[in-house]
Amino acid sequence: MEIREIFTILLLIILILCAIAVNFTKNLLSAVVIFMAYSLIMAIVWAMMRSPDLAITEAAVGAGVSGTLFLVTLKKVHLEDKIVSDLIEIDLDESEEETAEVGEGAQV
Amino acid sequence: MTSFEKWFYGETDVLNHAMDEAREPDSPDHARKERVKARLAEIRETEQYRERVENSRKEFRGLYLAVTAVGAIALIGVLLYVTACLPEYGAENPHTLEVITRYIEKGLEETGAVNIVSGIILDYRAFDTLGESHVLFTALICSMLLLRLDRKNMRSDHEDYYTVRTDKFFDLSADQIFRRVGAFLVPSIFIFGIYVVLNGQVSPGGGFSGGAILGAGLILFSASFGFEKVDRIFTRKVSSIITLCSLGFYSFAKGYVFFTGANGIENHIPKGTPGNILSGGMILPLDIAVGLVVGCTMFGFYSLFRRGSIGGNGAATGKSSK
Amino acid sequence: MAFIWNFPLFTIVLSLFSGALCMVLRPKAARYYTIIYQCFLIILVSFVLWFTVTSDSQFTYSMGEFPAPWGNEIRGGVLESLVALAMLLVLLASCVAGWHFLKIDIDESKINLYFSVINLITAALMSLVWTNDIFTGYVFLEILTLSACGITIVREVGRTTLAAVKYMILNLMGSGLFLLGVVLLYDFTGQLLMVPMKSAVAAVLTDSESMPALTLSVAIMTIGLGIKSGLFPFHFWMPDSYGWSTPASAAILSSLVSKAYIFLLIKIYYRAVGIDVITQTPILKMLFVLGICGIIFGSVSATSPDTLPRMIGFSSAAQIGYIYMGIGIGTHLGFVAALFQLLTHMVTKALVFLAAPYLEEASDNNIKFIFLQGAARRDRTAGLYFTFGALSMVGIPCLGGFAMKLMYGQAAISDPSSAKMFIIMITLAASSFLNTLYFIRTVIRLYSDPEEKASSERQKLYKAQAENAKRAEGRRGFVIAGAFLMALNLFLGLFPWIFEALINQGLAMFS
Repeated sequence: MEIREIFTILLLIILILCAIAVNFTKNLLSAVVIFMAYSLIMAIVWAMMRSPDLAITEAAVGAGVSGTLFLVTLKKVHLEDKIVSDLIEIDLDESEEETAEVGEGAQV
Repeated sequence: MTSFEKWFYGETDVLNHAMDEAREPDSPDHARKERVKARLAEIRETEQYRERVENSRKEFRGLYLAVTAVGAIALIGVLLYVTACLPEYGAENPHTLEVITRYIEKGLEETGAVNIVSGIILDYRAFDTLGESHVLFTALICSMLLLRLDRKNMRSDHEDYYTVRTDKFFDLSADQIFRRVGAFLVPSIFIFGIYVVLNGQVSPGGGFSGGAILGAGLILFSASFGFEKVDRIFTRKVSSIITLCSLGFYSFAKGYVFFTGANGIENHIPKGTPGNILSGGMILPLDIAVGLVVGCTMFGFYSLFRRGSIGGNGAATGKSSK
Repeated sequence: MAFIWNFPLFTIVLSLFSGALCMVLRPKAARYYTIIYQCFLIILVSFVLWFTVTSDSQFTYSMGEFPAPWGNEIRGGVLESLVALAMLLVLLASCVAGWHFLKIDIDESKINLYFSVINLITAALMSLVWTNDIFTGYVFLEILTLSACGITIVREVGRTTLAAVKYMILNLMGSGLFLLGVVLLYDFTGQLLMVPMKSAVAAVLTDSESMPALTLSVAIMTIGLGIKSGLFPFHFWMPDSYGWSTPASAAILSSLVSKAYIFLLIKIYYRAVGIDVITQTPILKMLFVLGICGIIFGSVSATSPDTLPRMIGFSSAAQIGYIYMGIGIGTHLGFVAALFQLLTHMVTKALVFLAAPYLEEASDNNIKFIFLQGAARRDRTAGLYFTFGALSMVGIPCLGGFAMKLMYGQAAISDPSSAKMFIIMITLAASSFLNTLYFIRTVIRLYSDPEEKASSERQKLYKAQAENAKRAEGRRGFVIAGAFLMALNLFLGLFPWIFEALINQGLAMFS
């Protein structure tokens, strides 16, 4: 097999590892960064398959804009330091906070 | 510890706060927050809360995991099997040649574009691209419906709306790296974006890629220099008018081409010589329209996420502006 | 080439432009523009229907100067025009009738955005009905998904956002599966337009042993569209997202959006893959089984909730199960019954979803049944409309639901040798019984006297609110639109042979 094919297979294996890693990471910030790395490797794969239009778009949108939007969201909901197993407590926290603030008898 | 170790473990700041990314919150409402914290501590003591936490972690968890695992493995198996039956990558499949041969052989002379991909998406199958631009527009409208601050949003007491409105808490424009690198990168990104948009029919690129690059450039500009600078040129009215004009131009231009093409009338759109900038019939104007829409939409998303409005502080005064 | 052939193009392109235009208009201007524009579209599509029925032909319209497999195409026939006309009528009725609650639920600065999304939904619905190309179907399916999430999200109550997020995640999964199916079919056949794809599929099947792979691709596409329209195991988002959105959105979502996906599925079966190929695969059997499970489980689930919107949402899942059961029968009569149920359910569900919130408002915005007792006496018009819709879904003669069940019975006994006949008859009986159980129980509750005395505080409050509600803006629109939907239902129920003839004529030229 040529070097080109070996390189493509290596990149595809890294893609699969990135996809699995996004799911199993507990820290949400790491998950977003791995997602951006996934987009970057996908852009390289597109370039190796000789579709430069797709490579430019994937790099700009995936690794650029959508990663930035994810990071802004994490910052806004104060989740950049939280890990996933804390999220259940957060969910309960916010609904209790509503009750604490608004008082009983309120209808949602 | 030596001073190096102190710096390594984060106990001293060699740069002396020159890279701090957040300012102090402007007007925190400590009393209210203390009250909410006290009430939450009370609630956490009760039996009900502890039971709820336990139940929400245990209910059907095993069943969900099992069904998810089975479903995922089934989907993986099905997709692997079907992909194995597909024709080999790069080989010529006699069934699929009909459409592709005409695109490759006659693409240049029928559309006038050297980049066949642009010719396909903006000439042969232009109806799909019309739909795709409107997909992006739909996403922008739905984000505005959800995220734009209005009187109903701001009536809630759950957030510190002064800081949300002005978004000063997350302001990065005091950061040295952003200012200096931004001053160099932002013009380069804009020029590169405009180059990619204008050269859609001659080299790889086109409306979508160039628009994404322009949007990313606008995002970097607003992140490095603050929202006030962007609001001077890119207000809500500007964004709406650019989006409306570009999408309207696309709909009516392509509507005209479809109408004349289907009815057999001649549409007098010159094809130009391939390889020039002014070539490819309608591809160049459509690329510009799509690029502008995509750029405005990307920046619109960023602005809505950060401060709940596109341009200006219309919501901060509580008035509904157009 | 008649000028009428251009009308479908106008419906799609002008709707897309209206979506962009409503973003910059003022709220009132956006609303009037949308309603007038929809009336204009109804006139256009009526002309197309009249033209195709009287000339008994369908026309193919190429988008641009390039012919079939290289350029895009849309196609108009009797069935497409009929479904398009029904969709536009229900859309107009929903927009007019839901205006009272739109003003309450949405902030004033966002009303023009809401109508912009309604225009985009119109464009997507029209395009899914007229399209002749699988990838165009996918693109406008994306627009429909995002717009449907948009009209759900717009109500800014906490539970609504949660329901909208659930809806969005499941729909995006469905879109992803549909796109996978499209890509796999393209890789096998090399075509994206539906008619050339059918001959390519036939060629691929004769040459090699690729039947299992082709079946799996079509199955992936079917499951994707099934997730989005509420097929049995994936129906659990329906009660939440229909119950918690503003009434106009609930009516549009439940009656129009799911039907567009099912119509696209039927079109793919007839035109892109071929009915003869599909009947050789087990896909139709799977849809039959899932449809029946949907009917039974949906009806059983609808007996348990104690709030009104959840009950109506579960009954939606059951009625969608009817359509899939009809597709699963596989014979011509089965498809006719499925398409008739598509039209009937569009009209009935919109009426029920538009009337129910008025009943809730007459009970001080309570959604639990114990507070709704006697609501139909306080708001007579809404009670009448709700009762009418409930009776139609139970299957009282003269109404649409009865004609629908009659057609299913005819489809079942047309093939007495198969076991399907018994299963369908038993399912029809059981589901009618269950429908009666929860719908008639609700109607009786709505009309019976409240348990408290008529002079108690709460009753006085309700009475005062009912008087105010009668004078509110938008009430007249609700009364007229509801009466119009009732008339459509009666038309479907009293003259089903007209629609049966139209559907037969349409199906003959559909492939």
